[in-house]
Amino acid sequence: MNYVEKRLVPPQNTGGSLLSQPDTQQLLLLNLPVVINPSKCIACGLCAEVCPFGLPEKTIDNKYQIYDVERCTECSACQRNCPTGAITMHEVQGCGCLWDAAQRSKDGQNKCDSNCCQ
Amino acid sequence: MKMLEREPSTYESGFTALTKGVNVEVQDWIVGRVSKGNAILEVGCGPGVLAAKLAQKGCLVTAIDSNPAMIEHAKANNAASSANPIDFQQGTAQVLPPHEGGYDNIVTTFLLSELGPLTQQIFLRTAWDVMKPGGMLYIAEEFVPKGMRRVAFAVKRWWYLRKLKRHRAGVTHPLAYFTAYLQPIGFEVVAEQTWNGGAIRALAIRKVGDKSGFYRPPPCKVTGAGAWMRVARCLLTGQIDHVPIEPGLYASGNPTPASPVIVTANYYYTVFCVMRDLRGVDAWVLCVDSRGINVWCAARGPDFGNVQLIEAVNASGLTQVISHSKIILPQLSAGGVSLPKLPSDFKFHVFYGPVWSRDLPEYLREQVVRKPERMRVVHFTMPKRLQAGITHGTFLLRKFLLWPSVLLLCLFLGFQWWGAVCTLGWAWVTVASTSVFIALLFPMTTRFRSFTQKSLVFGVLCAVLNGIALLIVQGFTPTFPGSVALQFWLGYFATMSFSGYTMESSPRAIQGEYPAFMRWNWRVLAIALTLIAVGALWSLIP
Repeated sequence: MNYVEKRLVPPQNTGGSLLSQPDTQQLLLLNLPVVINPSKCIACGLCAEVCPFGLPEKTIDNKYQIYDVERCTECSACQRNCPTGAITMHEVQGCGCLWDAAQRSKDGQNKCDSNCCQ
Repeated sequence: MKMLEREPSTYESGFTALTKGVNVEVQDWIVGRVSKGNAILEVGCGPGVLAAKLAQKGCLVTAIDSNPAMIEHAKANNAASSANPIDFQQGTAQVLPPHEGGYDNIVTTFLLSELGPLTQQIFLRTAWDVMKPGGMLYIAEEFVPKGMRRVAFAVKRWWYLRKLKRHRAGVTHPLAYFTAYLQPIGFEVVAEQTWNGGAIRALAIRKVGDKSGFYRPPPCKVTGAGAWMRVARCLLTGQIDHVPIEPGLYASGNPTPASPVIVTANYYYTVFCVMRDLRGVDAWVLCVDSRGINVWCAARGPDFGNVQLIEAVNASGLTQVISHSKIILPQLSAGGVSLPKLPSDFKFHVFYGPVWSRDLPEYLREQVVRKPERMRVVHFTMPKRLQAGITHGTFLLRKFLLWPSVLLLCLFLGFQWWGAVCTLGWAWVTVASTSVFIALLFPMTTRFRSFTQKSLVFGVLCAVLNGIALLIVQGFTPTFPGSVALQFWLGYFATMSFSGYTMESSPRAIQGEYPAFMRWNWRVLAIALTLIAVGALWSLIP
């Protein structure tokens, strides 16, 4: 069972918008980097506090949601620190630089080489 | 050594070959010093060769290793061979199995150099706790030698690390500061034996005192020429060179038990910024062992997470230093630290402080609860872009031009030398200025999300500007199309390479774009070089 499957969230309500039923399938289909499950969100605001881009915003029904999802760099800060596990993300390894990607595509190992931070 | 560990059955013979037999002499030295009937704990037993020798001498041996395959192998090897059965267990150096009445001796060979400095300190404290008063600890390790041999050691190690990187194996860290930990924690060295001119040392260490203490690293210097030299090294190499300081608890000003605790990475430039911004503020600064990597990069990799945080708190004895339970982490460490996953016995309340250390004094003074936007949102501002551009420029120069330049200058020594110097100088200036140019104009491409698109934009821009400049300076020459194409490639490639220095690249996106990018990269480079070659040949035709 991989990380995403572990975090698989069953759809809670059948009605509502697409964003109210976040699951892995949707994440993959829409190619979204991150999805917040509103039924699990307790509006603690920690995700907004740790996001380096301030992406999670408070909605009118007192939940947090990410609208500008394009700008997410998948640093996983929100997902790691969400106290209720309401945030689903892809399992990503790497630090987002060309040399890291080069190393990964070369030997398939999850380790940067000397050109990169790791 | 990490490579040897993958195969337990050949570990011992491989290691003996690696140390040229010194490890056998080390084992005999230790066996010669223990007396019959002693209760001994061996930490990091490997396949159990030393444990078997100790048991043969009539000692009660407990042996632990963190590698389950090694433990299985050791059990199978030593099943019925000895009169005193050895108790093999799986365990780590941080949690030692206790013994009724305490151990007489703890033995460890070639293990501590595999562990970080904080883990070494935790091991020493745990060892102190499970030993009898006056008990002896025997360690044998690879040390950083002293005096002139240090230079030879540094060269050898540099070569060794290059080789390791190719094999992609873990690294061992010869002990440099280890002996400084002993006295504060509650040990004294009573005997010492060296091999290979001090590169391998065995120490007999006695437990002293009635309470174990904590080691504090010496103050980190952030003023003076030495400090600025190190800052220059950090800025010019980026994170290719890890520039670590000793992890542990540092003091800013004159902190009291009520002073706030700031947690940060142990990259020199990070600590430099924090310490300078905290001038005039009394606070504790706890540096976790992030292997000399800055907070954001370390949090994205495996180097700044819950493991490192807990290790730093335990090794520094923070509970005994402060009277409150609040610790402030850098916000950018949230990509590695996970608050809900901290164990329930973690006594501290963690707060995420501001992104930049320059906001720390205000954050502490105002007792900020909800940070304002400027304390939590990162912006890739002009000074930061300039800094990133310079760092990336030096990286590209080092990557592409350093060795070719040295080679060319040697080849052309005394023969059209000045021409070679001019061409190379032009190449260096072009690469450096392209890098800074991309960094400064980077926000121009905000509308394009993918780095391939950004790369195309900058490639075209560089080609056009360079083309205009060339036409003005030397007019149309046969190599003109090739030079423009090469400049396009440089802009295209450098933008992609710059991705890791920006604040907006995502690993999944870059890894997805990589194959297509590389295909085009080679094609463009081939076209550019062909054009240059054709142009050069053309100009030779009279």
